[in-house]
Amino acid sequence: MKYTIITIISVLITLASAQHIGAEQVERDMFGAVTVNPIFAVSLDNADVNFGYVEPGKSVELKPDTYYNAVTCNSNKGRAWYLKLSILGEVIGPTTNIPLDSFKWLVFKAIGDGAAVEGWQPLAETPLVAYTSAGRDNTGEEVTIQFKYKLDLPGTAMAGNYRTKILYTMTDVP
Amino acid sequence: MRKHAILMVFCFTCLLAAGHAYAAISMDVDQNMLDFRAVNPGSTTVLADKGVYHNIITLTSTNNKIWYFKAHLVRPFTSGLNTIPNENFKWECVSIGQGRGIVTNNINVPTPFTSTPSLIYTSTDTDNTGTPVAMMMRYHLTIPKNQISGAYDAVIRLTMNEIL
Repeated sequence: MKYTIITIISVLITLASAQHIGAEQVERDMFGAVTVNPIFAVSLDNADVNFGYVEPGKSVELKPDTYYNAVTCNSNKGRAWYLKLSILGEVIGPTTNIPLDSFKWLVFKAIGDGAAVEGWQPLAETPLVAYTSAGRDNTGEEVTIQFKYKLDLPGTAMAGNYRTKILYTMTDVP
Repeated sequence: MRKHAILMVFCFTCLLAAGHAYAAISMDVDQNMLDFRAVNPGSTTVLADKGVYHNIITLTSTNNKIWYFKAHLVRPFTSGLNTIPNENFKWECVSIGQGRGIVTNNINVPTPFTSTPSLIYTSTDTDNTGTPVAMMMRYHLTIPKNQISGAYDAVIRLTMNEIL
């Protein structure tokens, strides 16, 4: 009899506790998902690199006091990218076989966290790295790279207008 | 001794049944997936797949006690080592159905989620006697301009309890 009473009291206390604890809180989880789209873009503010009429043996630099055009790059892929320059096709002008490296480019200023190559560089068929990104360049911050150009026309070439195509390549392959 | 054993079994059965009988507060979420799909950096998406709202969270209590509805981010929107700031992810209550309680910051006001439980709704007397409070919710997510691309996921925990 004594054990029965003790058992009943114990169970009643447990029931009371269960009511108090079990009813106080409920929880549910929700799950969120989003895909942040990748950005990998390059744009050019002036694609017309025109030296005009050039005399043999002369060097012509476009806008000697400042830059000539600017390339804007934007990536949010979280890893390094590279801007490369190369010549596309051949040089067209009065003399057809002038060396490609008669055309040169220079990074005047790069606005970004990365590193730009210094000094005048010859244009070549093989793309040459002009800028290597770093830091915020890889998280969606726009990078602007300002370029200068010059043409050193050999003394053996004929005077006239020379033109070619420059290819700007933004890539994540070094 | 046999009588004692039968009594123990009876009481244990009562105890199990009590777990259900005393479940006096409840929460139901009709859609627990918040899929914002593909979003461009710098843009904001309002998730309201059912027109003006995305899901309904139904809260019911018969305890005759004030209760509180809260939410927090167990896991912020994360992709690898990258996260979207908590303040860019907001809830907005557009309706509370028959509820007569108080929505924190009022209805139709987007409010950021937090990493610790933040109050969304406080019941009043009429909410505590079995009338369901059906909260129609929609969600806002702003992707920062400089967010790294990738697939992000988050876990949001909803809590209904009687302790503020």
